[in-house]
Amino acid sequence: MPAEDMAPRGTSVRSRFGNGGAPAGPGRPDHADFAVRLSGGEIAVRRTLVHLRDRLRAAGVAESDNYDVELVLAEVLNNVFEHAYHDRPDGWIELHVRVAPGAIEMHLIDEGHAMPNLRLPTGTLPDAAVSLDQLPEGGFGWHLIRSLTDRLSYRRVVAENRLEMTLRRRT
Amino acid sequence: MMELTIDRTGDALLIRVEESRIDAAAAIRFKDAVMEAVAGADDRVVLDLSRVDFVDSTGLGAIVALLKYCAPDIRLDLAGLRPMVEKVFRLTRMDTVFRILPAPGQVPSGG
Repeated sequence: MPAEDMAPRGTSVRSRFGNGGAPAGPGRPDHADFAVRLSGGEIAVRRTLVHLRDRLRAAGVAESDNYDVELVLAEVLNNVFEHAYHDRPDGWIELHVRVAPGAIEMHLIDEGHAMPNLRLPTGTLPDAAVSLDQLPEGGFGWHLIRSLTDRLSYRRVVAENRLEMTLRRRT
Repeated sequence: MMELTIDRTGDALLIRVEESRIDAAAAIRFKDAVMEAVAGADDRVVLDLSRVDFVDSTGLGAIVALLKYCAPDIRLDLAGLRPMVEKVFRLTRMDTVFRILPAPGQVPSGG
């Protein structure tokens, strides 16, 4: 069933698969096994990830690698909606995922605000060795992204953010 | 509202999360539902995550918030973490903050 058939009000997910599935345009990857344009925040993120998990499993990606991809994408997609699009609830993200023999390549494009200083966050882990009432309830996202990816690249191209991530397949 | 099963075993209130994801889309519902459930606890709660197969950083933050909410009168332990969920706790060092038990009813494997 196409993903848009399941979209609740206020969210949208469009996806196409196979060769030529990526939306055309300058600077877009010319091949993606999975290409989707989503908007609508965390509900659309969840729907996209559940769908992608099934696609990657069908493509033979091991469960532990599949989980790492899902976690990395949960963190980056939610970050874009929460920060880059904090003042734009209609913001969209284009996600391209390519399964290569040794790696999974992920490419995100959005037109939200740029990363501060055009740099990705360092992902410093909040200190866990503190008293209970001082424990962090957030700030884990970029640490997880950096821990689970093998290559990260961020560029601002005109009014778009371009994030490329590679995760080496471990199993 | 998030679906929970609430049971009492010995001295602890056992709360099992019946949904498969504690993610950004579920975190607030999850936190509110567990906060309501712990009102029935004496001094110990075991949060059974054996049916949960995905926790993201927002979900993790909600679980930490519950630990802080319960303290100091109620101790909150976790149980039944699947390997992928345990990995999120390990990567963020939150595995050092919680006591993590086997799933209720499961005998820990020897060796």
